[in-house]
Amino acid sequence: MNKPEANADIDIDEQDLVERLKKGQQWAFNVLVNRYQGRLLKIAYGITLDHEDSLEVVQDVFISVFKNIQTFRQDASLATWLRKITINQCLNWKRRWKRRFKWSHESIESENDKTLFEENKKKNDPETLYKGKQFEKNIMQAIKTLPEKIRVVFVLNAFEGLSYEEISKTLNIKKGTVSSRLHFARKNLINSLELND
Amino acid sequence: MKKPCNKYTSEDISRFVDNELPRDRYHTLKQHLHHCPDCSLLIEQYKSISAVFNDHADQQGLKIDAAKLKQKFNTAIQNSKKKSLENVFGFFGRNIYLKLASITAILMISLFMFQGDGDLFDPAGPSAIVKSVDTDFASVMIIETQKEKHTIIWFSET
Repeated sequence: MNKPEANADIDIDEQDLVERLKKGQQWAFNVLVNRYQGRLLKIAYGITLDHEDSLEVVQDVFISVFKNIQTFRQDASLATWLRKITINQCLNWKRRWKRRFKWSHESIESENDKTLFEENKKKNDPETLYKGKQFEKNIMQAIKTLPEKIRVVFVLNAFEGLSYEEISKTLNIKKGTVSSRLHFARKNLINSLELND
Repeated sequence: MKKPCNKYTSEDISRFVDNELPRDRYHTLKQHLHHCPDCSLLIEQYKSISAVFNDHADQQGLKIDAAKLKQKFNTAIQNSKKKSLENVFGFFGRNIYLKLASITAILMISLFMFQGDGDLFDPAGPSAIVKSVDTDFASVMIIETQKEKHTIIWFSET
């Protein structure tokens, strides 16, 4: 068997990838990381709202997948399984670190925002851009105040575009609960934004 | 938050945005939007919140540090090898001295049992059958212990 380049975008189907992971092939593990890290990092960031935490969480997800791949029965897709592990890791991570209470000390304007602002300034009208950034900051600040269980549902809806049925299966909650949590999230975010205006 | 009109609740609007309303209600609300600025505005607000959150997460440019992950991965491999080695050795896996001491103790006790005068576990020694009767319906045995001379009557229906 040829051993493909670790960083190459390898065209390998999911079934094959899982089989190779089960055999413990390390390059298959590299393919897994390359293929899914972006998506999982986004979910983790949406839940933890922290760069470092989301990176740590997703690293742990991949290690957990490596350890437990033999238990993956393939009755759902690999992406679904990975998503579930990521959510669980995020929630456990938050429980572990909730005493840190770090968000209250966090600057609203991160370095990334500054860079982004600088880059786009030349291309766009400064006033429009400023309003857009301000709106984004206000939204992010409001999202931080959402209860974790509400935010998880909102992340799965906004980032993954999952249906209520899919969210309910992922989180083991009723469809009606998904609907009410999304409504709660949206209503609260809009209320917070109006308070900031 | 500006409320939608009396015809629809904000939860209806939320479900409309997610395409989760029953088909009939979805189409009725869609028609309703042509002449209801309040419901239209709420839909736009709901959609823009998700879009901004999504864009914000995309802009983070998060990427796993390959070297750090490799290090964690190697540690995980080493740990799993260590674990499987422990399973191979089983009983001798961890504290080998403690286990050797346990085996020696078991051997010593066994020697006392079989080579000594039999006092170690059964001070009374083996019992003797005084009388036994077998009939078509039942069996009876009268047993007496050697030292204490206790009588045991054993009965069994056949």
